[in-house]
Amino acid sequence: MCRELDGEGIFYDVATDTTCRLNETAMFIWTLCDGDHGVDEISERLAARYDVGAERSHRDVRDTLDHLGSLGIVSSGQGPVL
Amino acid sequence: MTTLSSGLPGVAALLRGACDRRETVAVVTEEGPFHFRIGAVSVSVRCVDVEAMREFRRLYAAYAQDEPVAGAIKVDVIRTRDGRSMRRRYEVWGDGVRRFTLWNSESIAPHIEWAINWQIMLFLPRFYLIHAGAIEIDGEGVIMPAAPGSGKTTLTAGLLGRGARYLSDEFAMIDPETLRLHPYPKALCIKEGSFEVLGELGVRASERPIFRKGKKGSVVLVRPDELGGEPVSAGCPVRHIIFCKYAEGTTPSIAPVSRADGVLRLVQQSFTFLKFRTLGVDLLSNLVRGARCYELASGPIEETRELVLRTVRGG
Repeated sequence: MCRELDGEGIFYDVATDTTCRLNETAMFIWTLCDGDHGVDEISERLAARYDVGAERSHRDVRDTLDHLGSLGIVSSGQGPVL
Repeated sequence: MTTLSSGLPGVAALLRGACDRRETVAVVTEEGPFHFRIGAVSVSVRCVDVEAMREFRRLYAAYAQDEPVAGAIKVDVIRTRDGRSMRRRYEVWGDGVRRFTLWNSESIAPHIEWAINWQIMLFLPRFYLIHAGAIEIDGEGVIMPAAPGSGKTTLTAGLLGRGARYLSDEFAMIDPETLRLHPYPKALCIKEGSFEVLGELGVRASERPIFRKGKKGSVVLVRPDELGGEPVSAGCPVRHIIFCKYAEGTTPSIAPVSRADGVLRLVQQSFTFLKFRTLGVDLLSNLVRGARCYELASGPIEETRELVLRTVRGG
């Protein structure tokens, strides 16, 4: 489950009893992990929102998705398009 | 019994009557049981050591009840002997389960309190419990969650002398339905490392019983009214959540933390999160939506409590 608080997120995984916090940027990326957006599109949106370069944005998105994937919060395949 | 009932039925009936009467007459001695309603928590205590029972009754005299309260936590302290050494010992039981074994009577009083806390954590489903000091300032609830040894009790004690109303030095008891903070105004348990600070607050540890409380070491138990003149809070909404950390020599400082960070930290200091799980996440999320969250680095008590008061009062 996820709850949004002032732009940040709190995730709780019942199966592993793990709780984690997503900062505003990570939460923004996660909300786009809906199966309709790929990494490139998420990177473009992130760059536009935070006024950062394409390269940095792409790197941040990759890093964030790797981290979210390690926590089991997102996955490639049936879920978001990575 | 066969002989009595067949040959002397009248005597048998008399004996049965005597047994029945004994079961219905409540016998109260100096060992108890004594009954208390400590804010939201009701307890009945019986203690074989009369001195410890007297000390507990002194600490909780304001909450004494004439009659037992339905559903009260029951704590019994009994005297036994070790099976091998035959050395005398005391056992502290909570609701029929042995919680502590003590080798001397001097440490009984804080262990009665500890047994009550244990039962609260395990069997008080009415509340969501956070390990925190809890006070009310100007009608607003302030909870100060912290890991053990972070100085939350000392800070709570310090604030009582500056107009704060007491709720607890151990639990923030949150009603899951209303999110209101409820009182559990137990005696404050001050560790030896804070005896000097306690003296600055007008209570001398050397003039009262000093107890041993397991790994916590030497402690004194202090009634909240000894630290401040304000009556105990009857409950209030939570408006401020201050995560405390103490380091000797630190200049006190306080900084806002995000609400999401607040939820994460509250989960870490929750006693009952695993009972609530997803409901707990919702409860804590709703709790922080109505509050401001801060991180406090505690230092000297005088400066720290002024900093907390300024923050809470918006100064």
